[in-house]
Amino acid sequence: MDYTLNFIKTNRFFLTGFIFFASILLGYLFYNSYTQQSIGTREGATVLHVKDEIDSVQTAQEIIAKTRLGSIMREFPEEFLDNTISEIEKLAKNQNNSDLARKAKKALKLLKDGRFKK
Amino acid sequence: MADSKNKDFYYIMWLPDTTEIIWEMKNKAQMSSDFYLYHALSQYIDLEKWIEKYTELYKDWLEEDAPEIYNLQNPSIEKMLSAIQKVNANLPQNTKLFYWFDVDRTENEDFIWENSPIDHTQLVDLGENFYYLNRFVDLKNYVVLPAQEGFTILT
Repeated sequence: MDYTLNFIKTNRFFLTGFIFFASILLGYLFYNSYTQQSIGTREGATVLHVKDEIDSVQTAQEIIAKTRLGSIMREFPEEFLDNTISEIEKLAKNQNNSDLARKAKKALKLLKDGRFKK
Repeated sequence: MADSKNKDFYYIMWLPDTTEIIWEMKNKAQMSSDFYLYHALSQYIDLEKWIEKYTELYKDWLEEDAPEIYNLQNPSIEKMLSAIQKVNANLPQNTKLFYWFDVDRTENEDFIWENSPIDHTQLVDLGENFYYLNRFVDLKNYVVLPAQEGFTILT
């Protein structure tokens, strides 16, 4: 017991430093593993919902600017640039206006064709 | 998953209004017209005529729903596949040229490639180092096919 107390007294600066750095290391390891797990969950969730979100929120122009090669614009019908994919899909099924439906289908084909994806 | 290190893989993929149809596979980088594989390919196929014919096929699909660009037995596509085979026969083992192919995503948006569209053998996964749209290959028929978007993140 005396030996242990003496040891602690003699090495108290070393022991304090050791405990301090060990605490920092443990804290870092815990934080790192926690955030990695959180990021993994967030990315998984993003992947699962990203398509619906893009389809209903982003306009064709935004999708093209962020994720498509510029050459898609050589064929893309400009009248649909401000529409979302969901809106273009509805227009493509419009049986009252076959010309509009045909152009909307063309826009959809281009947006979904993998060759234009960046 | 295939060992994809030190592989110089390229592929043919048409885009509107360009004669630069060869792409580097890992990063989807368009190769300029002085790249040596254009010359190698032009020994077996008239590239100008092929681009012209493929443009017609693409426009027929885009405007008229004609599905020939998705038919690997179409004479123009067969001609390119045959030329690619011949080019590859003369390339070093770590360098290969492929043909990029996919289904019509307007009709089948979530289709997942598992087998070759030519002989139905299982595709080789080149792994996460490759751009997801160029990740699966048929090494016998030299066709490259896309993985689903987000595939690399989910695994």
